[in-house]
This record gives sequence, C-alpha cells and structure tokens, in this order.
Amino acid sequence: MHRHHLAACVAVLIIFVLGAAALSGCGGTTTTTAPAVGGADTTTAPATGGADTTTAPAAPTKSVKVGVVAWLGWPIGLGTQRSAEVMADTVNQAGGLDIGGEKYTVEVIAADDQNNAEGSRSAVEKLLSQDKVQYIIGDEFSGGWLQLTEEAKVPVVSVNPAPTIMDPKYKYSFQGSPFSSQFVEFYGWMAENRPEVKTVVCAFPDNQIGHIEADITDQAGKAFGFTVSEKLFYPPDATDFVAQAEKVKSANPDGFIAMGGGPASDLLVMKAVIQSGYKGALLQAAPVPNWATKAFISFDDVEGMISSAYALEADPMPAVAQVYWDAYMAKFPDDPPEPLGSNMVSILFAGLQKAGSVDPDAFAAAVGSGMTYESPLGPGQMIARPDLNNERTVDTVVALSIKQYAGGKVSVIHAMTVEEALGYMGTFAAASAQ
Amino acid sequence: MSTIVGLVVGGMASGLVYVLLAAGLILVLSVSRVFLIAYGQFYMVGAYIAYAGVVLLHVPFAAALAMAVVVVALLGMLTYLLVFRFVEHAERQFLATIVAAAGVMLILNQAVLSLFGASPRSVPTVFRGIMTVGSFSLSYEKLVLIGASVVVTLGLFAVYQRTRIGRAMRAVAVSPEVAGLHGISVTRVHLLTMGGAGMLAGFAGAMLAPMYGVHTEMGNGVFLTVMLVAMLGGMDSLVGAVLGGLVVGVTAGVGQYLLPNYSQIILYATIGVIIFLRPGGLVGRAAKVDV
Repeated sequence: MHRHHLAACVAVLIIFVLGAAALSGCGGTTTTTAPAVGGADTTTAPATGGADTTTAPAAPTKSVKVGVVAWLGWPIGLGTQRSAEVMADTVNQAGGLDIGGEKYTVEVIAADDQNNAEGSRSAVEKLLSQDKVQYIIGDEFSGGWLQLTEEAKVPVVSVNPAPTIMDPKYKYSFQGSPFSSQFVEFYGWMAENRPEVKTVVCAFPDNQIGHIEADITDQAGKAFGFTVSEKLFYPPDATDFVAQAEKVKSANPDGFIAMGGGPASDLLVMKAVIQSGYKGALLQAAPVPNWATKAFISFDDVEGMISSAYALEADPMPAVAQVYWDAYMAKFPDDPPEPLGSNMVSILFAGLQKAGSVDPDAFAAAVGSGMTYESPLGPGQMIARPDLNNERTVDTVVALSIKQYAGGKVSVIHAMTVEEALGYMGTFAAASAQ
Repeated sequence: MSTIVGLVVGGMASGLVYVLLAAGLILVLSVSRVFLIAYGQFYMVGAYIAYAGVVLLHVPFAAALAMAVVVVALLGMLTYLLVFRFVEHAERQFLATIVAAAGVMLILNQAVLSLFGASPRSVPTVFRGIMTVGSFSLSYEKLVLIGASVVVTLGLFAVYQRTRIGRAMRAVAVSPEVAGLHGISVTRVHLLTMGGAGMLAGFAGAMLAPMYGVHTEMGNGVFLTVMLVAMLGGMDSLVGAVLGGLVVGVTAGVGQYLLPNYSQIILYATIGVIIFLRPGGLVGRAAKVDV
C-alpha cells in the first residue's frame, strides 16, 4: 500500500473517531448544578411550593452529589438523566434541598453504561472514585456492582426489580421503579372493574423481562380470577407482528394484553392485532405515556383500550407532577419526558429529607422503614420483601392511574391510592404464596 | 385458510422491505466492494427525514418520501466521497471499509440522537383503514407498501439490466480495472452506486415510518436481518435478494405462528442449511473474500 494512501486512511479514521467522540460524548459525564435563587423549600420532594424571590438568601454552602448510571442513548436512560437534572434544578432554584434544616445544592453527575454490564461497572467505578458521589440512581445492571457501593457506603436507588437488588445482604440498595407493582395493580383493577374479561392472550418479547412479566401475569391470573389462555413470545427485535395478530384473532379471547417489549414493541403488537380484525378488549398493563403512544399508533385505532397511566397524564395533574412537567418542558420543550427515572429521584430526595442527614446509614434507615413519598408517577410507599427474606422496606409500590382511549382522546378514569395498590399487592402475594 | 393467507401476505410485506434493503446492500458490496454496516442507519435517516417533512415542515407524505429518497441518496454519495473513496485501494480493503463504515454508523446514530432526541417519533398514518375480504384482513398501508416495493424493485432491475449506468455497474462489479480501461469512470460508478443504495434505504425508511414509528434503534435492528437476507440470496445477486427477502419474511411469519418459541431457531437453521448446501446463497456464486 502506498504511504500516502496509508496516511489518508489513518487521517480518515482519526477524523471519524474524533467526530464520533465529539458527537456522542462517549463515556463522558455531565454535571448539572443550578445556582440557588432563594425561596422556601418543601416538605415533600421534589419542590412543590412557589419560590420566594423577594429576598435572596445565601446560596447553600453544602451540596450532595448524586450519580446517575444509565444508558444515555435510550429513552428511559436519557429520561432518567434528564429527570434527575430537572428535579435537581427545581430544588436548587428553590434554595436547595432541605435536609435536616440545612439547605443542600443537589449536584447530578451522569455516566453512560453503554447498555452493558461492563460499561455499567466502569461508570460506577468512575462515579465513586473520581466524582466521589454520595448517592447513585442505578440502572438495570445494578446487580453487578452493588458490592462496590456497599463497600463505599453509597446508597443506590435502582430501576432494576431483580431480587439481587433487594437481597438483605445489601444495606444500601433499594428498588425504586414501579415495576414491582404496576402490573399487579392493573390486573387487580381490571379483574374488579372489567369482570367480563375472563380470558386473555398476552404477547411478550422472548427475553428475560418478557418471561418475568409472563410469570407475573400467570400469577395475577390465579390471584384475580382470569385465565391466561395463551402467551405469545416474539423475537425482541421484531417489528412485524402478523403472526401474533393472526394467533390472537384465531383464539379470540375476551382481552389481549401486550407488555414487556417497551412502548415500541407493545404498541406495534397492539396495532397488528387491531389490524387483523380482532374485536375483543385491548389492555395495556404497562404505563406508556400518551405522547409515546402517539409515536406508534393513532388514538382512533385503539378505541376502548384501557391502560395503566402515570399521574402525569391526569388532567389536572397532581401538584408534584405539574411542577416536574413544567420544569421538564421548559428545559426540553421538544421532547416530552420519559418519566420513569423521576420515581427513583423522588425516593432519593424524600429519603434524604426524612433522614434529616446525608449520612448513608440514616438514609438507609429512613427509606427502609416504610417511607411514603410523592412522585410525578403517583404516590408511593416503600414495602418490605419477606419473600426475599428482607423485612426492611427495600421495594416500592407506586399507585398508578387507569386511562381509557375513547373518541380519539385519552382520559384518566381512575387514580389509584396507595391503599388500593397495597390491597392488590396483598391479594397477589397471598395467591403466590399458595 | 384466511390465517395462512394473512401470514403469507404479511410475511411478503415485511419481506419486500428486506428485499429493497438487501438489494441496496448487495449493490454496494458487489459493485463498490464496501460492506456497509452503516446501512441500517441510512434506513433510519430516511425514516427521520420523512418525520421531519410531514411533522415539522408539514409537507404531504409524497413530498416527504421524495425528500427522504433524495437526502439519503446524497448521504450515500457524500459518504463515498468523504470516507470510502479513501479506503477503496487499501491493502486490506474489506476490513478497512468495515472499520470506516463503523465510524459512519456511530456518527449517524449520534447525529440523529442529537438532532431529534431519544424519544420515539411518529408519522401520521397515510393510508388508513383495513381491507377485509371474507375473514382475511389487510391494512391499506401494507397493501401500498407491497405495491410500492414491487414497483421499486422492478425499477431497480430495469436500471441494473437495461441502462448504461446499470451495465457500467455490472462491469465494475466484475473488474473495476478492466472497466476503467474501457473508459468507464469507476469513481462515478461508485458514487452512483452509493447514491442508489441510499435511495433504496431512504425509500424503505420513509415508507415504514408511518407503520412502525421512528426511533433511534431502528437501524441497528434491521441490519442483521438484511445481512442474513443478502447471504441467503447470494451476496452478489439482486435476484437472490428478492428470493432471500421473501423466504425470510414468510418463514419468520409462519415460524412465529406455528412454533413461536423456536421461530428464530427455525429461521436461522433454514438459512444455515441453505448456505451449507449452496455457499453462495440461493442464486449467488460462492466467492473468496480477501480481508
């Protein structure tokens, strides 16, 4: 090969590496701190009250560093980072997070896990050793590095509902997503309020999440009195669902449920089933925000569909959700939130405030003793996991809402309370124990 | 009976999209010797251009489709001029093009993420409604997709077989050196090949955007399937791309219906057996690739 050709190749490769790095910010971390502008803080997290700007108190001299580990190239991960930043901005602009009577600036440092366990571990190692974070919002790979955070005494609020996260050997690990409760709540409500749905066919992706959710659905059927007549597993990367649609049409159950594939796959399966001519009840157990639903399916095409929903979708929204929504849309006006991560941040802020201290042991004790909190997704409560031999409240229930699509519009038809949600969870747990 | 018809027709609809994308991939590989692993990203860009046209610029879908075709064609040509032109004479050209294409893939992924964000986007359904014949139903959007894909595929064959540029592409595919000696501008052929492949990807992305939505992961998922289609049909045969796409589309659909837990195994086993029996694919020739 001629030298000038070799030089050209090397030059092109260097340009691409630099270009890719510049555009992607691969492995980089982002830090957000908002200057305090004064104002009273709130007693529930995130800030719900208006800021008092007639006097400008001194900016907080203390800060709490929060690391966010997530796949930043994916909506849920990016949404978690943005939710943390927006919620940090909100409390910082209101004077700081009130912890034990002192104001703390919340500093968010995000790290990309590159959607794999190795990347996740590297991100956490960096957050711990270089960025010296005091708390971490964890990703789905959290189970692989909890030993690190335990040794460093850094509490973790994770999105991963796997039993590892709630293992009693981990004192500082908590499950902060609504995954543990959202499906049970929906199925419990459905059985009570739609008793005509006696048989369902469900579609799941053929991966770990899909099979976990299939098992939950089976158990829910036994607990709440409906029959899962068929479970359809599809390749996780499938985009065409003709086969599944034909099966549903042939089986003609009372109801069809698509879940576990994320908004894209779940809604595409639903669309294919509708286009096949199936006329039964359309049910969506996983909450997919309306603005994400519209990306894949017209509201007219899902007439009558009943779905789980976040408090953000209510009209009017609860105060906590409204503050979050306003702050998020002000910062990202063209990109409505993927709000799942806001629940973990809410637990973190509420835990710090209840503990009255940034001390990790105080935080762990506060969160682990049945703490209640408000989040943009709905009201929540930490619960114990005796099935995992953990009597501390390391898991969470988030009381979601139920929405219905009718006449080309969607409206929330029921906002669950924590007591209701706990009731359904209790029924489910009792049936599962048999 | 209607179930079988539904499965076959539905499989054909997705299969025809694979046909278009595999044809573009094969075109670039056979003519320009570029293994364009960023081809899925071209398809993704086409979908985003369609979204930008319809939703942001409020143009009719037909105009947005034309925009997607033109923009991705230009993207293909630009990619050749800025990237692949410099590696086409590399000592290990095949590997060099893969590495370069990986860079293109990264840049396109991040560019789309930066411009449009990570949230999925929607393009309003253009051809609404369902056609029902007895107990068989097919959405109009799938019907249009099948029709348009057939027309484009036939058009591609016509260009490749019956036009001067098609003859030039075939000549360069056989031997760029000899083609050059016969007065064919090899660089121009490569440029037009990349542009043509871009057009196909842009068309496929834009046509599917209203059906499947638009999201940043759509390119990654489609490339593996397209590559399998190309291998199945023959990496140097457009006819093979057609056969491979239809086989994959229908097999995947029927397999998922009959044995959903094993559909992937059935599909890949089928492909594996065919390639074992015919290493060059259904129609192609077995070839040694210098890496």
